[in-house]
Amino acid sequence: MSILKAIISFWSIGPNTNLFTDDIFTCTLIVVKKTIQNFLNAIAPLSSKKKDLGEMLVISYLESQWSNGQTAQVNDVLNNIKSISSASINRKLKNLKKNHVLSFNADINDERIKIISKGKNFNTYIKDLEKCLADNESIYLKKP
Amino acid sequence: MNQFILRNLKLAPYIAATWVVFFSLNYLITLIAPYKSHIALIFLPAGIKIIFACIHRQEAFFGLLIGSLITGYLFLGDVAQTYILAFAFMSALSPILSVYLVDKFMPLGMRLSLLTFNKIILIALAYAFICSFLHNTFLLTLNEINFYQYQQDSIAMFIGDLTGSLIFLGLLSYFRELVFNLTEKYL
Repeated sequence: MSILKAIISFWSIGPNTNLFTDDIFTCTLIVVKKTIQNFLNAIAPLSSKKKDLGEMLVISYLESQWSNGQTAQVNDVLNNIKSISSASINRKLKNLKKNHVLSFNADINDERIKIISKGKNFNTYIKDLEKCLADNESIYLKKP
Repeated sequence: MNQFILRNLKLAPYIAATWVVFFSLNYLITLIAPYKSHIALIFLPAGIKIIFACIHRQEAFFGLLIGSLITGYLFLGDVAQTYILAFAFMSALSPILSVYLVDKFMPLGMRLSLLTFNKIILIALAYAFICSFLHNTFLLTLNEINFYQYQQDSIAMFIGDLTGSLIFLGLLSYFRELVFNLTEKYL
């Protein structure tokens, strides 16, 4: 590590100087790191997919229902998510259905009741979400 | 002034080496879709130039100049051999000029703290325009190309530089978590 420090100090400060101190080394690295971080943050929108917080809320509610072994109906989602209006939830459900994240099947006994199940893109959606969270955590949150 | 030259020379080897590697890789793409010896329809190394110009500003000049000279001698056709030095000079100057131009009207801040996505796009646009304008105007003034060729080559170079830089930055953006972790680990 000390050899690496000496090499980087040489290239960043110059030869024939007695300034190979930890403070200057740290300062130079902080400046370069910060510049690279800012650059990476600026280009982030080139590849990031937009994630809707409302959709995430719907998915999280459905996941909790499924993990408890219960079926999820459209009416359950509408009644149990209080922070978003019914119209918005309907729109988000329709959007998730359109993107094949969720699929809706009619109940055998009563065709008016729609039961929600995982669509063919559900796992991809969850993976994208996890990547998005990991990206945000690594870039926007300070490390201890 | 001495400090400026010293810092330029220190950064030169790694900038030049990176430039040569990416230019060589891009050469394979130009073999698939060739246009002219000095013009590529997708020029990925343009992204590398923008990155170095943004991070190091004028201190990246010598590195880009040396890198361009090396790739010029290695890859450019016989017609362009006479003008390699001029091409290399314009190639190294264009990204730095574009960063300064955008910074003049929309400040990028200390350590790029005010750099945004829109400003990156503006830098890429300015770079593509300046680079194509300088190269082709130079050839036009020396009567190497006629006005019709000038128009066509300028458009081709503009598109190549713009698409190349956006694709490269897009790829970097996709792998930014990896790049971020590498800088955290090794810097």
